[in-house]
Amino acid sequence: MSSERGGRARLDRTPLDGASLGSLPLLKKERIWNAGDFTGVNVALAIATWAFLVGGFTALLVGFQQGIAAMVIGNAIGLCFMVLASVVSSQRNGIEQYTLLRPVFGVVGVGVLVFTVILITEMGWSSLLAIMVGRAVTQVSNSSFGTDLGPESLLVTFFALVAIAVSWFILSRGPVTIGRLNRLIAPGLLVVTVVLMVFLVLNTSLDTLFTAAPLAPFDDEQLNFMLAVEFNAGVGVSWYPVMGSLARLTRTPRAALWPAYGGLLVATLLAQIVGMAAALTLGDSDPTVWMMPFGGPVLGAFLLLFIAFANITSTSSIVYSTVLAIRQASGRLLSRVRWAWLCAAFFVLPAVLAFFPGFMYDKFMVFVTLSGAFLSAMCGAIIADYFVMRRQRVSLPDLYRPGAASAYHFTGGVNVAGISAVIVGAAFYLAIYNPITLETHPLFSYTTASLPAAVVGALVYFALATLIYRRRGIGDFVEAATPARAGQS
Amino acid sequence: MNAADADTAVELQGRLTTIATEERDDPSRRALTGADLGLFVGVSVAIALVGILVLAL
Repeated sequence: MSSERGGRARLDRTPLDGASLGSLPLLKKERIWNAGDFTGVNVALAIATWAFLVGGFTALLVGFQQGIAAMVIGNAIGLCFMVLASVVSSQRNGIEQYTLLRPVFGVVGVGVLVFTVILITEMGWSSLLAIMVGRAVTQVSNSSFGTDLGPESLLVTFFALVAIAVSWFILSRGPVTIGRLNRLIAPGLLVVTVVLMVFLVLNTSLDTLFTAAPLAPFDDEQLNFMLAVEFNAGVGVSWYPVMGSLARLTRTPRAALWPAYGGLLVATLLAQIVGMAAALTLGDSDPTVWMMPFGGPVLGAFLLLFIAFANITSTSSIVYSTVLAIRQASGRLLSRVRWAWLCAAFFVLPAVLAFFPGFMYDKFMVFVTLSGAFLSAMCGAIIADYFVMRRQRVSLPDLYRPGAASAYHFTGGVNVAGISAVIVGAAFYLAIYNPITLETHPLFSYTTASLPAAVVGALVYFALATLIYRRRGIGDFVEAATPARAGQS
Repeated sequence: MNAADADTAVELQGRLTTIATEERDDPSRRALTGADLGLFVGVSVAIALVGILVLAL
């Protein structure tokens, strides 16, 4: 991550390799970020190319005013429970989120979730970013060399594969290389956003923006708005897989909580609003399409190529945490596989998906909302476990004890309550809103689907964990109401 | 257990001991208070209400 640069660089000088240290609790002297540092990290992460894409896709459903409202409401909701589920416990204990999931899902249960929900989510995002690179390069080629390459041409796939190969190379070099590149890319993206805002002001008026019609709405206006809210809530929740590994590097709870929420929210909204405004002005949701006419042939091409490169480093950043999680969740199975090979294995499916660029773009909203269904339910279960049933107390030694020696072994390594909560919560989400068929329950128009899915996940977890484990003294749940000290068993 | 595993185990044990002894009461490992959590959720709800206000304008 952009962000892990300082901490990781320091950690990599220890005798242990990055993957080993990645799972160990950090000590006070290694937690190097104050609130300002962490705010910068989150701003750099949020002002990324996917924000322009999300803004453009929001413009498919709603106009400018409704779009801003949908972005604010959706991100406020999604980020709220994402931050509570990932940032708080990782900061307190100095441990990344996947190790801290063991009390909620059991060590085997974490493996199941990592190899399904997390892996699919991150593979989807990385393939989409790679395809965006392919489209960006072909757009520049069309504009500069007069070629006529379509958005689904073979060259889009070719450059997407090149992007994946470069991402793999960067990733295989380790987090220090990712950090160095992001030190250049993050401020660059901030400049790009500001430049786009200037072009926006020059090329359009507020009146035009506020009267611009959505690009491809459904007939039902309220449904369009709620779909936009839900989409943005899904985007907010989708930060879950990367945030815990960053928050562990912060010095105090407040240095983690507010910068994570505020940094992501403000920067995301800024970039998404620019993306939405440009899409509404130029009539296309795809930043690789509107960037050239928006910025002109020279500057537009430069911006587009910069964004293409930024996509590559963004991919490396999000995949880093995921591959680390895969290695940890697999136990001994993948612990001896070389880092570079493991990264290569991750990119196999994104590489296959690169052959279907149209499919990935068409299904972008479906993919985000569907992964949001599972991540929301997961967040609900995690919040119920950490804040309600453990009162923010986790036994650090038990996180690392093998098998039945750990208090978090539960039923054969699976916390049945946690896995059931995810399944029931996600099923509830799909019952309220099915992103594939677009069927909705009347409740969806008032509550979104993410929020009730998280609440259902929390309630199911609380009920089942109490019934199956807590009453039988299994799982080291806290009985008293007083918060205990960190690391206490 | 090979040498790498042994190194990791020793390192882990050392860290757990340091956390349980020297960093036990350190502000960096403080739990969030009810007020912290209430404020956080309250601010999130307020921001969502701002979004509704934007819609109503």
